[in-house]
Amino acid sequence: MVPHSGIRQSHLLALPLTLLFLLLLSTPVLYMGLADTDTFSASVTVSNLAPSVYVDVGQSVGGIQGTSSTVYIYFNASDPNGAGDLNTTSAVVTINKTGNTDRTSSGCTVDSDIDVNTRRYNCSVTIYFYDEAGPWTINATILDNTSNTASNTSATISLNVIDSLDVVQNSISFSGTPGTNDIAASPQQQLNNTGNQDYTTVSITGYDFDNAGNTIGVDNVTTNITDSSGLGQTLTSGAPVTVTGSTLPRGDNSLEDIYFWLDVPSGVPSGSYSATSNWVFEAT
Amino acid sequence: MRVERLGLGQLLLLMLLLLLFLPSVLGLGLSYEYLEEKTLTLAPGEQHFFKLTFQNDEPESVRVSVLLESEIAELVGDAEITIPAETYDTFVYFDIQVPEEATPGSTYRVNYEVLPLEDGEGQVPFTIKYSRWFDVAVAEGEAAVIQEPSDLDNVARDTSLFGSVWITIILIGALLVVVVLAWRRSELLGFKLLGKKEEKKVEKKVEKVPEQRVPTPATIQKPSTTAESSKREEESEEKSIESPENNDDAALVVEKRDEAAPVAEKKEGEAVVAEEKPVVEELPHFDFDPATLPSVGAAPGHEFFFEQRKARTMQELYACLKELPEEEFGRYVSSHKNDISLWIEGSLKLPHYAEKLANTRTKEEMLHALETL
Repeated sequence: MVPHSGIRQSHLLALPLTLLFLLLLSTPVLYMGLADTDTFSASVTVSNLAPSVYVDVGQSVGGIQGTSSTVYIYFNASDPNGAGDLNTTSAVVTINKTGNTDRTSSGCTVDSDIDVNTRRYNCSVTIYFYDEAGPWTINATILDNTSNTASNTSATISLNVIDSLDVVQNSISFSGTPGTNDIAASPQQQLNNTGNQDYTTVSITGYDFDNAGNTIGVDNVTTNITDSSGLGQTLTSGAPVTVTGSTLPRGDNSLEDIYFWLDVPSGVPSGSYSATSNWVFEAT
Repeated sequence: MRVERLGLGQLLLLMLLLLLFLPSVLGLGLSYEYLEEKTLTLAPGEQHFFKLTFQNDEPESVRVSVLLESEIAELVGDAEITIPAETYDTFVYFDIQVPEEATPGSTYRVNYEVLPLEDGEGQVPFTIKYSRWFDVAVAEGEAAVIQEPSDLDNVARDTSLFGSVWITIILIGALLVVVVLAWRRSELLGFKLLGKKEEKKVEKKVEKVPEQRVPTPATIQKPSTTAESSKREEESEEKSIESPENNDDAALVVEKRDEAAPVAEKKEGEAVVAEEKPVVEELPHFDFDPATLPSVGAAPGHEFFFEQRKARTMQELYACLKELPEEEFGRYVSSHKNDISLWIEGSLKLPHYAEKLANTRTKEEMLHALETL
């Protein structure tokens, strides 16, 4: 193998001899169909060969709840004509997973030159919090300066699970007089799925109200997702109750309104009652 | 104009009301590796570090408890940690170790629960709980050589403000002691130089000395001061007995000592030795029927697993604790965590009982708490 960088102008006599030697050397190799393996020296003078791509990413990456984040994917591209023949502006990485929107790099930069034929690229891909967890296929593609294409789809990247539920209101309150039914909570509660899990069940664990030893049982509270007073599931103190119909699929702006209604028993002393413990939301 | 008619107090009230009605989101998230079919496949003897990362996109930090229940996994990191505001990289590890003798084809369940600890404010405060699980399937093959994660030492540790405040208080207290001792020493030197007696001053100081010597566990475990300072304190007490007023104080202190720990009966000169020993409070015992404890049981797979036994109910927990070696107990309950309390709250859904046990730190204390629930 004679790198073309070894050819000097002062060796004018040697140049035609060398070219002739290389031509003779490369001809049988091309004929055998092995041109893109180890014949880069021949390609200098004979033909332009397609680049090849190697992707070395296989680890898992995590997104961030409720927002987008950037994943950096590295790949190596080789061109028998030399790394200079790689068209950097054409480098692109796309990750895809069935049922999801493809995510394509916004740009690739040269990370480093591995050798005279190989260049390492760093591509930034924006992923979103609702992108499905699990393996995504990486498709790394690059052109050379004569538009030969090389791509690689052998590597995957695994997106982590993001389990994230935002409870929009830290607290709610009821206001009414003894004997009044169906008092709506204010403000209404809302849940927001800020992760990449499909939640099919939402449960709420409630606790009784207390006012200096006077109690209003949490079984006087019902909950639903339809804003219809008094209907829904009755809460049980200390035990999770599923809010019927509540679902929070992964996606942008996946919200669920949760309504609470209180019947204030007759005869309870007036005063300020507070829950004896935090009410607990759980989504699965 | 309307604003001009409002007084300052009214304006403040209006602002407070506006703040109250602003949406305030509670947003705690978890991130962890994706497992196909929620199953991790490992060979017998193989080890795996499962990383659980916490995300908190809110402007305030949140304190959470992490409860891990599995016979093959241990938590690397503290069971109670603080997730700083707007951070996404606080993490703990589950160190999963498949037994060498595990049968290929068998599975182990790993249950874990993450629950914010702070009590919310308002009439009906809310919180979020994550109860999650995955299986570890045992496969044929040889265990791969596992390298510990490079960030294993960076797992979340309890750095709560509460802890920091106490550390600060202890440090300030220690500094004050040093300053006082140094001052007394210089004062003595001054007396010697001037040839004066120090009776009056000593009397004043003695009033404080007995209080400092109430042998609470915290003060007893503190490192001793210099031998010279101990001697000075001894001298001070001797002088204090001369004063009837000070005698009263001393008597009161002795009573407190009796209540707190028998060790306190020792003379001050022996205090340095006593400081080296841990103080174990003897708690009263009486005939107790475990059947009086709640019989509610944990769901299958959510039992509390001791090394040799498992407890499904609080009654079984009591029986297990009675026979549990103190050393093993320390693996579940320490000054940093209380897995048993968390289990009662998380798996038995008995938060009131969990709260009663939350502050117990020794087996003796926990048994006593169970007996007096």
